[in-house]
Amino acid sequence: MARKVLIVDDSMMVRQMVSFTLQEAGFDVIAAEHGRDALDKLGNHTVDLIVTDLNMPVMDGITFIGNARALAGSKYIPILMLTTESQPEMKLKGKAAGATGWLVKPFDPPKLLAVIAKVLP
Amino acid sequence: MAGAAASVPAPSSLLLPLCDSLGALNASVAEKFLALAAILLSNSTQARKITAESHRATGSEANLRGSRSIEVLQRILAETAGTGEMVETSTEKMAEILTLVNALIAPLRRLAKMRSQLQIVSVLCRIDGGRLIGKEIDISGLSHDIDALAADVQSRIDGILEDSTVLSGVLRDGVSELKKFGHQERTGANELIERTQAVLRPALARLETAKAAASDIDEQYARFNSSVSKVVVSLQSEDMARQRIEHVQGAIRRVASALDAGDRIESCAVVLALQRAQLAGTRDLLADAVASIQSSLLSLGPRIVDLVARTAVIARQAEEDGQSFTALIDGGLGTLEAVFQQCSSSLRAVVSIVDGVLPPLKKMAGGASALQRIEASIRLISLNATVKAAHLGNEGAAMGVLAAELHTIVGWSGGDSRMVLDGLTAIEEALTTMTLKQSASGGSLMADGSGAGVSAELGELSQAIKDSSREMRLGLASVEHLSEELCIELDRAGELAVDAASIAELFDREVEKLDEVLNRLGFTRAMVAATAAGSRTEDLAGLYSMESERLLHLRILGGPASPADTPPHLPVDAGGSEFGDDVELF
Repeated sequence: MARKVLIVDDSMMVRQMVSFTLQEAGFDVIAAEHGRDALDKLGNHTVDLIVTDLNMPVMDGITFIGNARALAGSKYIPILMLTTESQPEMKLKGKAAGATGWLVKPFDPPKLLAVIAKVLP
Repeated sequence: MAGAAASVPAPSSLLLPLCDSLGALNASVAEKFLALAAILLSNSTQARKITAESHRATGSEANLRGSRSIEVLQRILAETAGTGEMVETSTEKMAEILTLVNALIAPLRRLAKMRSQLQIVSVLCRIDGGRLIGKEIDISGLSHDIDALAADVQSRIDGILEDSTVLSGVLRDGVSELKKFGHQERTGANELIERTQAVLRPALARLETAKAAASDIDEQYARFNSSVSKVVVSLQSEDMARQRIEHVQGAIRRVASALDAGDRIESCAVVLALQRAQLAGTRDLLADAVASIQSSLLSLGPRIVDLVARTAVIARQAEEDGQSFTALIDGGLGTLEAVFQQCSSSLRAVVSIVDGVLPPLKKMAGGASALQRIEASIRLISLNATVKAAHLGNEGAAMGVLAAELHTIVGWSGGDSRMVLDGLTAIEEALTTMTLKQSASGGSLMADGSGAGVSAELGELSQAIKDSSREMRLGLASVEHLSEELCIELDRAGELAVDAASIAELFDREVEKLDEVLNRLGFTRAMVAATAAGSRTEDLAGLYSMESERLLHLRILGGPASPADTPPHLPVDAGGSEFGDDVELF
């Protein structure tokens, strides 16, 4: 059975590119446009991994991670941040919120898959 | 300066239309890039299908099945050839063994006389014993011992002769059975084997070529994917551009609001200059991305054409090989089954002969060894008689003669029993050679003996070749069709990329519009120089939701303006990870 990944990004292009990369590698993908949307999706789906952007409308990535970690079903799911931000203080915030790793956009498909392979249990 | 400002309309009426225009630019960039993304996804799906069909066209799957069958067929051929050779050797060896068995008859017949010789000595011993009754030396026991040995000798020799008759019978039947698979048949089988091997060789070479082709196809697909990955990276520039333009829009709105509230244009000069630089930088970013996408798309077409051309060559070559192979099967390879069955039958005959020969041979060897033990006993009796004769002096002269006679009997019988034993050893050696040949030739297929395995394998091989040909025809047609579609799509993608290149012109127009508005607002470059390092720069932080964007803007204007622009030293590992600087795992 294919592993399921939740992609959270307000950019349709990024959602498409991440979905394409993961689907080519055999993952099932569900997508959300922002943190609030992603929390709703988590209520209806069991996922194995989350890839989220940082700067998004409605609910940003850090807030989303904090909320997701409070849910029983996503407490231990690996969460990767995929963002244009690379400032150390932002990474610290992500880490404190419960992110598993940090990837700077634009992502390289083989590298994204390698990182996912590393963090997926 | 204030008079000039009074002669222009409200700043927001000049600046806010720019925001709308930038929104339209963002939408236009998104439309063009999403169109490129859509066609890329479609191309990639199509390329994956082509790869799968290319594998089908080169017969990878069917070849795998054929490969297993060819392997079994080769074993069948090897076993058939090995059995033919083994049958020939076994026939020769059996004739040799038969000669050796016949050679045993003469010494055995001579040994058969041993009993009567011993009986004579026994009678004479008994007579002499009667003459010596009452003497100190009693020789009455000697005649009993000699009688017992004579009986034993007779029994042993009769047994050996009987076994040799059985052995001769088994060997004669075996030779007769093996001769059924005569020289002519063996020559025919060898020719058939050579013909089959001659057809198998190109088939095997084709398998190797197909394997190499499959690997080549995968390599081409990997290269295709590598180009697709580059396009995926380039397409993400749209996201970065969108965010930057949104930031520019936000900045312009804030400047418009400030100017409407009475701020002087000089106080906003740095911010406005930043937005201009930001637009120009974003244009360059997207232009580079489009150029990279165009270049990657251009490289995809030739790869697909090359992939299809290689697939076609291999598929056609494989088709020709397959036809010649099927023709061979239809033209008489089936007779291999008959040859195999014949070989199998001969192999069973050899096994049966060896099984039949071993028991009598073992008994004969046992009999010959017993004879030697008897001879040793006779020597002892002879020695005993000599000693007793010496004790008796002149009265024991007759006994001395009998002892000498016993010694003579043992002398000639020993030579004959050695001949028998040597003959048996030679038979055993010849038999061992046969057994070794049999072991070397006896495979599981041959051992099954029914020939059904051969039929099944030939059937499977023929079917695999036919499947392969059908798969190749269908696969090649599909590859050619799909690649035509893909080439059309790639052309379309190329057109979209050319269209996307017009984005740079759209950006230039926006920059021109901004310049015009700035000009009307009385903005000059000198204002930027005067205020770039001033306190207003620090206020820029509030304009950006992304810290990195703020730093980028500042770099465009000549480097950090305050210590706050330098990232603080934090305990996060800034050295990246095994994946590089752009990845960090916590």
